[in-house]
Amino acid sequence: MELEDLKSLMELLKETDITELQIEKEGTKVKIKREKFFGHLDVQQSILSEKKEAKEMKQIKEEAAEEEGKLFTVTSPIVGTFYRSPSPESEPFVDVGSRVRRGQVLCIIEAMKLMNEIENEVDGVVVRILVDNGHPVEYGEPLFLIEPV
Amino acid sequence: MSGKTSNEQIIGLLKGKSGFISGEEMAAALGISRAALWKRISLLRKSGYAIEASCSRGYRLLTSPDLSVEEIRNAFSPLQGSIGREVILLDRIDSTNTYAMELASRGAPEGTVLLANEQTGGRGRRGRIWVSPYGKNLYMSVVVRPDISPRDATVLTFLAAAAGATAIRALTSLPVSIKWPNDLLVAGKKLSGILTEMKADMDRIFHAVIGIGVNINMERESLPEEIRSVATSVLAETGKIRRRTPFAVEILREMEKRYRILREKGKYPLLEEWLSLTTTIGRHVEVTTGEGKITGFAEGIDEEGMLLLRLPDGSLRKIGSGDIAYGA
Repeated sequence: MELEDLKSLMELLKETDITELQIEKEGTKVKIKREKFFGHLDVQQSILSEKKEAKEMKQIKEEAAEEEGKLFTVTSPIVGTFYRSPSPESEPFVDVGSRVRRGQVLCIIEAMKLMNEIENEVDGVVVRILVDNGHPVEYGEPLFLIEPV
Repeated sequence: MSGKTSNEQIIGLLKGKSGFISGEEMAAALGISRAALWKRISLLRKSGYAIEASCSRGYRLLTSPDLSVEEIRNAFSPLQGSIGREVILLDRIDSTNTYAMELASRGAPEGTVLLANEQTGGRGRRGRIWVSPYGKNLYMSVVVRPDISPRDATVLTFLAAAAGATAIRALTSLPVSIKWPNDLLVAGKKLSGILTEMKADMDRIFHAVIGIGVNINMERESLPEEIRSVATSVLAETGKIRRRTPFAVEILREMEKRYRILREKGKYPLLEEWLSLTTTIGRHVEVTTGEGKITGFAEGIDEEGMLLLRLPDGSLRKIGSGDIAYGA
């Protein structure tokens, strides 16, 4: 990772609410921490590796795209428990990287034995799953980031 | 052909007479030929009605199938309310809920009722199996499209539990109670389970399906071993075989009543009624959630129906999903 890239990454982060970002991949570790109230940046870069650049930049692009509203955010319409699969034994509905169509089921939110199947609203690719399986979610909580294609 | 001269009308005519009714009289009342009536009668026999035919005296109904879609349809006028305006009986389906959700997403009207004699993939919460042998029990799903916020949708599961408990109590005199959120119990064993599924976004509910399974004529010995200690049936509790039709009709009627209350007065009267029928509140319970087991004292429910559990350390925990076991 070049110094220029790091600088631009830091600039990008300044414009967001993200306070901590950690990228770790085969020997390269970049950790950027920003104290919320002081805007202080603390950069640690241990070992440099050119190969990881593409991957890291991809993630940065994601952040940037999200910031610009290019990524589609799927939110929970109810308070409940987040499930990634129809039953504990079955495969998840989707994973990071899954191609998803409009109308496809992404997850189930359960509240008091009311099962709410959350449908995808845009054709695209799942870029991030924001909640762990079995965890509680709040009304309006973001669940997935979808990159429209 | 199923337009004006419906099977329901034929069954209605036959039921209206204790003895024979002549083919001529029936054909005239229905406005069809006697040959057409004969064809109709043959079809009804295939769906389980025993109808005696005599050249000189006409037709006489001997017995009806114990789950009769015609009787259920006759109990609900399409104009009356919403629930029961359309009733479908299938002989075999994987899951009435799955199929009802499919029908709902293809535009099935609110109040469509789907029944099956057998479910090959009957299911409960989180993919658990709901034992659904042929012809023994009630497997029923209802399509609703309530004009309420998705945040209030959980009231549907409480509404269904109160309706089921009230209907089964009336039909069997069994002391049916509700275990949070909506299992129906007799003597601590599960008689009926309810699973509600929904399609909604942040702003509105597109459709929901309330599925209810009631163990009616399943013998104690035929209950699978792994659930024998926790499940029961009307037959096991009362020793009597019963027709399934009255269960379908009564549960739908009670649901209809409460659905109207929801529309007119909102969810609070329904949550209050639920509180009067539950045995969960006011006792020590063990809750198995996705994150492990917790024990505590069930103090009540909040306005969304979440269980308010007082933990041993004095703090209050809200539970939205989990399995409840009653402490000794």
